[in-house]
Amino acid sequence: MFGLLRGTFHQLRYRLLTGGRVRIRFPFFVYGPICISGPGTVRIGRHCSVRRNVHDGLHVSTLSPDAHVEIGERCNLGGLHVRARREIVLGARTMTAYCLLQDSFFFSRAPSRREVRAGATSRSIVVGGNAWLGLFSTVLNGSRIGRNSVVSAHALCYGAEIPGDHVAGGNPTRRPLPSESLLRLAERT
Amino acid sequence: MNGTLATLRGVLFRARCRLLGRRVTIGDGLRLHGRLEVHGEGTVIIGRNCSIHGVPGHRNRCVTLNSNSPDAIIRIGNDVALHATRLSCKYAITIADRCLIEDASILDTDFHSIAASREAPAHEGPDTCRVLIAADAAIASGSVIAKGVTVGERAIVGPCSMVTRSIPDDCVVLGNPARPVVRDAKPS
Repeated sequence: MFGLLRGTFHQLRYRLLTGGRVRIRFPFFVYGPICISGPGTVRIGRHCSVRRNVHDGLHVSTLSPDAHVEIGERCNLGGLHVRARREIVLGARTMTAYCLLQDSFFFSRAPSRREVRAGATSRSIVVGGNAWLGLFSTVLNGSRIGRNSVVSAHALCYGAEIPGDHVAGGNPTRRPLPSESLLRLAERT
Repeated sequence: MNGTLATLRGVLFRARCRLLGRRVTIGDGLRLHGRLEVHGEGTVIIGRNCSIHGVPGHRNRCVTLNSNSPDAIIRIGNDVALHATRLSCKYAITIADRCLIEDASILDTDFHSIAASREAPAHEGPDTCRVLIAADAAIASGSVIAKGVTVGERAIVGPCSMVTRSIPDDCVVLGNPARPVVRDAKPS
């Protein structure tokens, strides 16, 4: 109940302070710190909840007026850090632990010529529905995480295309493994 | 925080350091857009026109310059931008001119030995452990620059990288351990 009150307070607060650039849909449950800043637009769907994970709740920062952050409905967010220069989309029912989603290498300035030459331009990030972003994972420029997929703890996705129903690990992530196979392996051992 | 307030805060910080007799020397034009904390008994030298920032979305992350010994020297050049960077220096950390360092950690010691006693590491010294971030380099969020590393001029360290070996000039690295980013390589 208190979480809903806190969430509603933040909903109204951001609606008023940002003139509708940041829109959070009701109901919104908050049990941790929230900070949404920057000149871009942010949309958070219904029934999302924010808990504390490694001391952090929800920290969204848009880095340009064209930046857009979209968080689907029924997401379970904890320690989520989003820094969007272009677009970062989280599908419905995404679950996150303390993780960083950043669609460019640097949050304090636009990509330099050197980064562009190395292919590290600012590219949008799309995370599919029911994905799970593990503890201390990082999702960078141009990554696509499929539905029901898992990004392991401490993994780093850079331009990675992770198909649905797979588990990706490593820094940087290499071959993602199908969840089915891993589940069967776990049953056998 | 606008520019004037940041400049004023910089001036006040400089004055405070002089008044308190701290071993902190700061050049003109320091701009504090976020908090700057200096701990320990080592020497800190900051060049001209440096800017100190926090991280957007966090009120409590700040630039922290820690010295772990009285002989530690932290040298920061001119026109350096630090965003909630954490430096932990036992010997020498040098950041050259025009570097950009986001909320990364720079360490010039392992702090503890891997031996079960966890005592101070045996084979460290100023010559092997000093860290140099050369001019125009940029280090992104969440990275760790370990002891003895030289980050070359104009090099770029991507987010959440672990850098344990020196990086040549003009290189772009990413990952744990940090490896050069190859353009258009499919990671998975």
